[in-house]
Order: sequence, then C-alpha cells, then structure tokens
Amino acid sequence: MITDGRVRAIAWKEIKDLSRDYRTLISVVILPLIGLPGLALLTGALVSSQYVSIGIVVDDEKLYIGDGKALLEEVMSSIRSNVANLGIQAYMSIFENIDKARGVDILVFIPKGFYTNLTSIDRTARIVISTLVGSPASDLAVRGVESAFYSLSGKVIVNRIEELASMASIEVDPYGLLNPISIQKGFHAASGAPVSKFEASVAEAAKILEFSLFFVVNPTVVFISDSIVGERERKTIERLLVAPVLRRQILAGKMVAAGFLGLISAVADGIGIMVYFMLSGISFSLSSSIILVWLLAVIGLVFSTSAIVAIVASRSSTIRAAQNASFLIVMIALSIYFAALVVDLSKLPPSISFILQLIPFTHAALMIHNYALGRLIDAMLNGAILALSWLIFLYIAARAFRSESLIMVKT
Amino acid sequence: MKGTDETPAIKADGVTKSIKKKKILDGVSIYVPKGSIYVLAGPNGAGKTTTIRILVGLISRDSGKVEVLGVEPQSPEWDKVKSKIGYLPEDASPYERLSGWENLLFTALLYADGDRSKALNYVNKAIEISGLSRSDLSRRTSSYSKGMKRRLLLGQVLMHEPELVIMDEPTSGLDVFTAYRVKRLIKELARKGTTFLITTHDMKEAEELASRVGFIHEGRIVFEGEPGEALDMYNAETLEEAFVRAFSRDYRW
Ligand SMILES: Nc1ncnc2c1ncn2[C@@H]1O[C@H](COP(=O)(O)OP(=O)(O)OP(=O)(O)O)[C@@H](O)[C@H]1O
Ligand SMILES: [Mg+2]
Repeated sequence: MITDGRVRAIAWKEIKDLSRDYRTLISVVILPLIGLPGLALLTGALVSSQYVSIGIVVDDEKLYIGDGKALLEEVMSSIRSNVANLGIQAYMSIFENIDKARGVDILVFIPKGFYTNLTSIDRTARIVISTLVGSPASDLAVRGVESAFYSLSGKVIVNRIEELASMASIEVDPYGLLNPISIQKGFHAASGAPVSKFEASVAEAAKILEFSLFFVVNPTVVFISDSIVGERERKTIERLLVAPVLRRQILAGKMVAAGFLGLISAVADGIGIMVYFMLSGISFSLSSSIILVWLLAVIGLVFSTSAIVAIVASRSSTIRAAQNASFLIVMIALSIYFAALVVDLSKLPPSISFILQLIPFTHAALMIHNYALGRLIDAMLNGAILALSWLIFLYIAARAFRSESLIMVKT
Repeated sequence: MKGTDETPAIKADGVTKSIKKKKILDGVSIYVPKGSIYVLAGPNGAGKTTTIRILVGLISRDSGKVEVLGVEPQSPEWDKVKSKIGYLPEDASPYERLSGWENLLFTALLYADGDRSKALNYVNKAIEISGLSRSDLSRRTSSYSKGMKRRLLLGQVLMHEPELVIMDEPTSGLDVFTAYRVKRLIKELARKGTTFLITTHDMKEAEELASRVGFIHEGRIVFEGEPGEALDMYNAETLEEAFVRAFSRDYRW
C-alpha cells in the first residue's frame, strides 16, 4: 500500500497538512503528554496537602503516668506515621474530657480502665473512634488510626501468650500459634506454567496499554472526519476526485496519515500514562514484546477506526455532523477501554461477550490482553479479526466514498 | 475539422439529470471535436456546471449517452482516461495549509504516478503557467489572493499537458492582465492540438476564443455550432447579440 506512488502522495499531503494543523496536534499530542502527568502531580500535591485534626480524649488516668504514659506516646506516634503513609498530615491533641474535643475531624475516646484491661490476660480494652461525616480525608485517615490500634493489639496478644506460657511453664512460639496457616502467593499463565513476578507485573501493565488504546481512537476520528468532509468544505474535493487516483487509494493515503497520527498520539499518551503512574507511585513493568503487540494493536485499531469513520464522514454534509456521529464511536470505544481497565474482557458471559466481539475495538484490547496472559493463539486470532474488519470496512468505505454524495451538499 | 472520421473529444447525447425530483438537465447533447475550443454559454443556473460534472465523471446521469476521449465516464475504464484530462472546477481552492509549491508537487505526484523526476517537470511547467514568483510559491496558499489561487490551480490543470481541458469559468475573478494571459495560453495550446471545453458568461470572451459554441438554457441546448452559424441563425453582428436573441423568448426587454 505504502509502495503505491499515489497512496504515498496522498499520505504525504495529509501529513504535511496535519503537521501545520497546530490545534489538532496540540490536542492530540501535547495535551495528554503534559496533561496526564500534570494531573498526577496536581492530585499528588492536593492529597499530600490534606490534613486532619485528631483529638484523643483520655479518660483513663493510668495513661498519664509511668508505663501508661509511654504506651500512649507510642500509640500517638504510630497513628501519626500510619496517617502520614496515607498522604495526610495529622494534627493530634490530647483532651481530658470530651467537651473540650469538639470540632476535631477524628475523635478517639479512651475510657477509664483501658490500660488495666489491656494489660490483663483475657479482657477486652474498648475504645471509641468517631469520624466527621462527609470528609473524604477523615475517612481515609481513620484507617491509619485503626491500624495503629491493630498493631498495638498484635503486640498485646504476643505478650499475653508469652505470659500464659510462662504461667503454664511450656514453650510456645507466639507467631506459630497465631499463624497456623501461612500463604505464599504467586502467578501462573493460562498454559499452567509458573509466571515470574516480573511477568505478572507485565500482565498488570497490559491493562494500562489496553486503556491507552482509547487515546488512539479519538484523534483518528477527529482527523479522518475532518479530512474527508474538509475536502469538500475547503473546496478541494472535485479536483482530487477527477485526478488519476482511485477512491480506495485516497482513503488508503488518508489512513496512512491517520496511522502516523495514531502512533504519535499513542506514544505521547503512553508516556503520559506511564509518567502519571510513576508520579502516583504505582509501579509496573513492560517487556519489549508486549510493546510490539501494543503497536500492532494501535495500527490495526487506527486503520479499522479510520474505515468506519470514513463511511460515516462520506455520508455527512458538514464536519460538525460527521464529528457528532463519530462521537458515538468514540463513546463506544471509551466504554470498552474503560471496562478493560476493570474487568477481564475475556471472562464475560457469552451474550455480552458476543456483542463486544462484533466491535473491532474489543479485539485490539483483547489482542494485548491475551498476549499478556500467554494466550498466543487467541491474541493472533484477535489480530486477524481486527485486520479482517478493517478490510470489510475499507470496502464499504470505498463504496460510500462516492463522488456524487461528496460534492452534492445535502440540505 | 468537421467531417473527419476521428472520434470527437466529447460526445454527449440526450443527457438528462434530475436532482431531488427537479429536472436540471433535459436532454443535453454536445459535440466537441478534437482540437477545438468549445464555449458552453448560458445564464446562471442553466446547467453548465452540472453538465461538466457529468462529463468528468463526478456525478451520474439519469439517461443519455456520454463519451469523453472515447470512454464512458461511469465505466471502469474511466480511470485510465483521467490522466489525459485537465479539470478546473468552478469553485475550487488549493490546500490552504500547504505552500503553493507543495500544492503543485502534490498534483504532479498524482499525475506522474509517483515518478519524481516526471513530477518535477510538471511542477516547473505549472510554475511557468501560473507566473507566480518563488517567494509566493513558498508561502502557504491561505495567504494568496483569489486571483493567485486561480493561477496556481490553472498551473495544476495544465501541468501534465492534458489532451482535453475542461474549465468551468476559467477567467472569473481574474484581473484584466491575468485573464488576457489565460486566453492567450488557451489559444496557444489549442493551436498545438489541445481540446478545450470552457464555460463562461462573458460573450466577448466567447467571441475571442470559441471555434464552437453551445447555448444552454434551462437544461437544454438551444444552439450548437460554429460562431459564424450562430450569427447567421440569429441574424446578429456579435455572439453577444446572438446569445441575447437566443434567449429573448424567455427574457423580455
Ligand atoms: N446539489 C444540488 N441540489 C439541488 N439543486 C442543484 C444542485 N446542483 C445544482 N442544482 C440546480 O441545478 C441547476 C443548474 O445548476 P448549475 O450549477 O449546473 O448551473 P450553471 O449553469 O453552472 O450556473 P452558474 O452560471 O450560476 O454557474 C440550478 O437550478 C441549480 O439550482
Ligand atoms: Mg456553474
């Protein structure tokens, strides 16, 4: 296709034209490249600048002196660091009675007898934790408070076991006693072969690659619909159609240009997404072979999206109408790729799966998904279906791309 | 030129076309011998542009026969004829984000089927025809005046030395000097054997150029023949007069 002189000429013209269409380029390449990491930085900055006030009402006088005092200090520093790990700063203060603690975000009430119960062998030491309603930061921070008490509870259990063991004069390993079952986790591929941690994280990263396909669909839709309807609106269509070039060559040339744009935006968005995850502190890894599969999926997706949009655009009378119709296509793509992020597309009930399989976008995502899970044959099948759907849509597009409907504006 | 058994450049017979149930062409027949300058004249909305679009294969017709350079425009063979035709639409524009030079190169690549040296020859030819300066050609055409755009397009229409040139109002919007240059160029190329079919409203221009004229009105050819025959038929001194008389049944003064 690329070796055809006329297809190349069309592609050259489109790419030249596109390279000077700063509005499209900015929205396709620059925005995601800066936008996604920027979003991560912004949310990161916002999250880390959150703070909550934690009031600890200590009604148990034993916590003001001696070992009790040391325990309280330990709990407080544990709360502080646990909450800080959640990205929230904690302002803590101790109150002698509950009336003075009004207005705090999180209230921890430690009643009389807490210390005595805690240090006994078999009694429960109660506390009350109350959270301000409607405050997301407090909802998050309260988990840090709870985990501080859970870890205290763990230490107390160990102490109690050791004490019981010494009373009974027996040897007991408190950790063995508390953990009769230990679980070691691993991963395996569809073939049953064990998968390394690295490969497992590739499979995780594949989800991100699947989602990134959405960013490829959007610029393709914008570019192809503008490029086809634009030939008429900008009064270049008549000469193009009379020139010695076949309709399918015109479409193919435009698709090659769309492929370039798709690749550029996929790479830009891919980088943007990776930086986003890095800045958000989520780690993942990629292998070079999965990147290759991803690139193939991108090309296949761009081509088949182009062909679908070409059909729609050939039948629309204005760029706006073409883009409105194409918006629907983008929404379908978005929902599939968003779903790919949260569900296993290959494990849906047959009825839903059948409908999804009819949409070429699904196969681009499944191709990456199946490859990442080691289902090579399935991945190849997805690639083949994607290619086939492209050919079918291209054939329909070449028929829809009729000069009469293109030059006669419908009113 | 009449009477030779050579096939004509264009032969259309009883062409009809309706758009949304409205009859636009009602049996148009035109005959353009090779090497002639055929001027298709008619008032606004007469059907000139529609006729031309049918001849270059852009739109279909409802009935009638058409052969252009011996080929039916709606047939698969049409693609082979396309490179022998130069077409200037009534309302066309170059690609505005490309420079003048890039526009020329693009058209040249299409007509030269990717052959770069052939394409560069076409580009040089087009530069000569357009008469645009180097600095103009290196600018984006969005900054061109209407006349400059038209000159650039003219270069693209003629760059590949087509056998048949079809131009819808080639001189509209051009200043006196450029229009003069264009007319001189048409006559010069016709002398070398290029066939022209052009439309115009300007009867002085028709008089200057035409070796054959067709008067079209409401989708019907009301006269076709050599300019001299038109003068005789309508008992007129000038083509303008003949034109006015041809339509006087509909236009009362
Ligand atoms: N797409 C269309 N939809 C509806 N009517 C059309 C369409 N194209 C042309 N027509 C009608 O067909 C008739 C002939 O139009 P055409 O453009 O062929 O005239 P013309 O002779 O080229 O006129 P002008 O000298 O103004 O360029 C006009 O009445 C016009 O309104
Ligand atoms: Mg017209």
